[in-house]
Amino acid sequence: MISIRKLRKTFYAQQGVVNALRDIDLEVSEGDFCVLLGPSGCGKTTTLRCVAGLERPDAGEIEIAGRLVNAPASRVYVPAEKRAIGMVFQSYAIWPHMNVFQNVAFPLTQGQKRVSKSQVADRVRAALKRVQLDGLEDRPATDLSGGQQQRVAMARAMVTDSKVLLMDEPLSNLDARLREQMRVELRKITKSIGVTTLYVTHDQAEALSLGDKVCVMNHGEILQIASPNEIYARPANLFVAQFVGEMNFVKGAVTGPGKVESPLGVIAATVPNGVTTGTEVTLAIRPEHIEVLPAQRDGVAASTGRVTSRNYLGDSALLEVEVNGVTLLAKLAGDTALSVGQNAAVELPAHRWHVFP
Amino acid sequence: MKVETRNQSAVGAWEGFSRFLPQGVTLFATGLSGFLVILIGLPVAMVILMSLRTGFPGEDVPFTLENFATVYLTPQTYEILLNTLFFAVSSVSITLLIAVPLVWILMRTDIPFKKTIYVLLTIGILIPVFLRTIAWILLLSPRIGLVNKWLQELFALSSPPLNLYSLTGMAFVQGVSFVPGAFFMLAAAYRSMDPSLEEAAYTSGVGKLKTFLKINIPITWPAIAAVMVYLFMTAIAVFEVPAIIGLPARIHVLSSLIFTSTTPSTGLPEYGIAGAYGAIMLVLGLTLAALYVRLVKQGKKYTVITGRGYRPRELALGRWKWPALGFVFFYLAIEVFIPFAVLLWASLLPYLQLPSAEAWSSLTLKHYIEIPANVGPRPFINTLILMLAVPTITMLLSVLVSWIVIRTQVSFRGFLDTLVFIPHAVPGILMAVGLAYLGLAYRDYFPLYGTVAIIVLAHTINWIAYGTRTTNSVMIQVHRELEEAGRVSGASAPRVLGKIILPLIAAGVLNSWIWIGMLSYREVTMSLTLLTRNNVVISTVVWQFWGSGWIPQVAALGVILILFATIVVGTVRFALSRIGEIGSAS
Amino acid sequence: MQIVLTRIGGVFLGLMVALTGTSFGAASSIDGLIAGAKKEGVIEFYGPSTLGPEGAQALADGFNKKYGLNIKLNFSPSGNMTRDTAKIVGMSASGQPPEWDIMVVTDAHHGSLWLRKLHQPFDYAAAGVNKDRIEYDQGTISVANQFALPTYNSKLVAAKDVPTKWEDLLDPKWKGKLGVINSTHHWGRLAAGPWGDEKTLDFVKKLSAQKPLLTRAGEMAQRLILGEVLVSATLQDSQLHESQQSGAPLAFADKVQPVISPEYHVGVLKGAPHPNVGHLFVIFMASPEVQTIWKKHTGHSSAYVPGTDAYKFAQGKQVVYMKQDQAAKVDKISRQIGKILGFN
Repeated sequence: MISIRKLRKTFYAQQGVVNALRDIDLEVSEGDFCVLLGPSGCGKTTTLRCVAGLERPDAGEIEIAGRLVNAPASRVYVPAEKRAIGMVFQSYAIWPHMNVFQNVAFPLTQGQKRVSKSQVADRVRAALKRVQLDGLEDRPATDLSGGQQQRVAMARAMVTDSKVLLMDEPLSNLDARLREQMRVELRKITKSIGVTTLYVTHDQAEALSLGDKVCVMNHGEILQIASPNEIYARPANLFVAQFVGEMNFVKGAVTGPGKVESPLGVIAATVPNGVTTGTEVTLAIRPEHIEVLPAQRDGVAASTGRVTSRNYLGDSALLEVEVNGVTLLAKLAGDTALSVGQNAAVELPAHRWHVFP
Repeated sequence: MKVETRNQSAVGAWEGFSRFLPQGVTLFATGLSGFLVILIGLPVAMVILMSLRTGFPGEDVPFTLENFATVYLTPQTYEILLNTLFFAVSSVSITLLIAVPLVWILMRTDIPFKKTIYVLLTIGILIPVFLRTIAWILLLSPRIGLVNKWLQELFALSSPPLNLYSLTGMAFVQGVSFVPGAFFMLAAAYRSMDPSLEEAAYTSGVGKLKTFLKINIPITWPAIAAVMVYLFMTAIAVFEVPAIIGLPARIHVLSSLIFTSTTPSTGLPEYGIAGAYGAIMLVLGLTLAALYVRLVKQGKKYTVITGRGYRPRELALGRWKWPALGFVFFYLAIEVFIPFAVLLWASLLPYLQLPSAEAWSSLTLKHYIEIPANVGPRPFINTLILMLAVPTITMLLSVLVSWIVIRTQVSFRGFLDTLVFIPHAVPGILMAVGLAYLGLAYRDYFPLYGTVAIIVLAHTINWIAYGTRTTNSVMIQVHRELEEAGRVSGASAPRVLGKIILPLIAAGVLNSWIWIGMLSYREVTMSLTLLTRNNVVISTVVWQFWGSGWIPQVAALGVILILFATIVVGTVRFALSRIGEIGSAS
Repeated sequence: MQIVLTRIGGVFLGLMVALTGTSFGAASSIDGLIAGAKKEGVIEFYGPSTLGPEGAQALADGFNKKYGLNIKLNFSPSGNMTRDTAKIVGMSASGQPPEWDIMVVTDAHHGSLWLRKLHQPFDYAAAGVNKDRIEYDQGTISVANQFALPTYNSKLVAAKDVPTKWEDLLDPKWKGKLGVINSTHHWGRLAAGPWGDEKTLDFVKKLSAQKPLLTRAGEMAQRLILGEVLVSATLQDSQLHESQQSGAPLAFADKVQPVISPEYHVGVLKGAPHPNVGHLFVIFMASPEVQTIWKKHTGHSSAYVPGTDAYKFAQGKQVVYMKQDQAAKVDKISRQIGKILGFN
């Protein structure tokens, strides 16, 4: 549904040249929910705005629903208003001088595909119902709460039944509670109408919970595109590993196939193809994969460590353990009896280690 | 709604946009710029042309630098230049001393009677400056001024302490008259200031006055400086006060020189000399214009762009209410009440006298009754045309220009913004003389001379700078995403302008519309220069009455006009205050 | 033979008449003018704003009645005589016909026009106009006279202090209490006339040393009434009369001589679109009926016409009138005087 090929965009800012997008390639299939994830300045919003037609890329092609909307090489550029998309902005951009009905109806009354008056009313009401704001048509826009504004913005973006929905960090202005609620609702709504969604966020938890596909970006490049599972369990590189979820990093060097020398000893971890002996690598393991026990279990290899700090979170506990001079963060179930200063057995399962060149 | 302060790198990045744009907007912008270049460039070109010739419009004389020689080789010219600068600086200082606190009081505190004060401020501008000077003469003339007499009696002084006929006196009267204009320009800047910056000071334990001086003023400084430069440029060009108060004291400024060159009491006009003097003003004006543009760019860094009108919480004045009200009342007394009272007094007397028993006994209404006979309908009709046409055309052009400058990425939009500001560098009197010269010399191509249309033209060119300042500041306040949401919804650019941007800036635009209408009503310098049988307007009628010594008649006319305008403006203001709330840009 | 000669003479005379008629561009007899006027049908008339549309209409009615015509008069009130005179100069220079047919402006303004040969002369004397009133090489006739003298506030100035000669103004007791209006041509006329350059410039310098209050002409009456100024060195009679009518205590120092008398002249402009009506109207302006109308609406009358107020006022006084050869000089010296006084 959305095809992005070799997208390039450069900004000329006061402090020099900014390569916002460096030849991005991305395919989003019909009905997919694709999340662009990355830190601020990575180019995710720029990509979204290029797809929307609010930014003009310097090079690259964009296709929406099979139609070429941007190809600077062949001078093709379809302006935003003609791209037949829906978009939810970070600030919601609800027009203060109109009421809810007028805001949602605007694409139908002023856009490219106008419909008859009676149809407008029907479709607006249907859209509002979908976001659970039915009954609020006559409310002035200035009288809405943040959450309500967000939903009006969604209704407006969907009222034309466009094939593509773009969202620019729509939940970042909501409080934590509401954010989680909306996450669930959002996914439900988009799936129910089957719209192809491109969603931008810097929140990795949000990305993992919402996306069918997560696309991690940094410095204008796509580092990995995969399902949330894949991204989390098999991060393609160091950046993805540390950006998505928590990760422990230990420096080491490859001493043989499947063997990495590190301050923690020799780790039997799978070394990626093409990494030769002697290369310096970074070992990584998730906190939840580290087991910390008061005493070593029979038959399970473990190192000796000392608990240096403890953070109780109710359902879990974060422990810092020092093993051979290396501090590791471990995440355990909340009812652990370990306390600070205590010696413990630290299990580091071999298959849980990632190795990054 | 999240409040976003755009930091420098983001601003820089967003502004470094690509240069290619949909053809439509660029084409339109080019057309508009071309039109404006002609509109503004022609009178300016005329002034320069004028200065290089020694004859009359229409005469075929060779180019010469004679005029410049005459002007620049006279030492007196430099003395006058100094006078002009001193006068301008003093006037602007007085203006700001009153306007800055006034803006803060009215925009940030909970002072009562706000709407009434606004209306009175707006009305103040309706009293033509030269009528106001009657009041000042009656109060501050060294020989007959009432205030002087009282002070002398009170303190047993041997000579009158206050002399109106001095540069200080001139600066005082002029400075006070600038306050409403300065107020509205500063108000726009204050509205876009982030209130949390002040609030942070209060919560840190800093008192109100200190916050005002240490936080408020430094942050709004670029805006204040810009207004200062703008006013300075106006002060160099004003003519009425120097003519009425300066001349008796032999204090000359550039503008009065230009006026006497073009309308001497004997002989024929010396357009060439006027042009040569005008050249000085032009150079001065253009330099200041460049400074102004620079200041405004700086000011943009401090502004806050929010999604909708963010109304900061008002400061509770508490017992400071009384001094604040006192200050406002004091200003309004000087600006509105006293001049109006004097006008009223003058209008009821057979001839103007100081209050005395005899004067009281001779009060009469006959001047009011005689107004229809004395004035006739023509001036009213012409003035009405002016008050409707000038603001409409000016605001239309201003909105279009601002839209291109603020909301599009047209590459030459900076040039456009500067272009519309240039007329302010050209003093009104010069603009009018230039247009008159144009109209006389090239009648076949511009058959506007002698019609109201030429005055409409002169006024529009004169105030497009003001119009664009206000539309610029209200356009900036409309969050970019509000516009983008419109485009993404499928609406074309003109539609977005009409359905989304215009309603949001409507209140601000309307305010300026009213303001320019009133400026047009009371403007006399240009109307007088372009005066012929058919384009008499009320301000020139008043000026002619004054020139013939018909003070009571003039006063009666003035009183009626002020009352009429008060009613109209008051109604409009109160009715529109509702729109003001939503629009975020009043 | 005699008959032939008489015939030839008659033809020759007829030719002469015809030739002189065409060389003036208009018929040279009143009847000829009337006939021509009938065809033209309208006159563009520029006159002082004080005349007002009613006064102009009264003139038009009188004119039409006298000559049995039905001419429409378009009245252009003076906005600024100086600027409008300059306009004519400019229009002529650019080869355009003037906007008006006839102009009633001051003698000084007509002087400027005359210096540039912008009048259309006519033998007004032959049409019966008093030749004292004809000026500028038969380009204009004098319509009315203004008078200018020192003016004082009778409430504030004791009778014994009222100036009786011009030099009285230089008395130290008037220092800081005088006013001078920007009609510097008043002094210019004295310079070009009985006083001469030196005496006038000397006088003006001393007057300036009195530190008078300078204003534009229209404002002086106001200052006198208010008492800011006790004596204005000069003031026009029209201003005086207006103030007096409203009851203000102003008066001329009428013992002072010579009396300065700027005049209003009327003349036809070169290239005027309707010359026949123009000349006829000018002739009409010299008639006594016009005096009544003019006096009624502007307050002025002609000192050349016996029985008028101006005539009576001028009786027995030394009055300074400007002649055409003084025009350039008055202009030049007035500017000089303006600089001395501080007007520019």
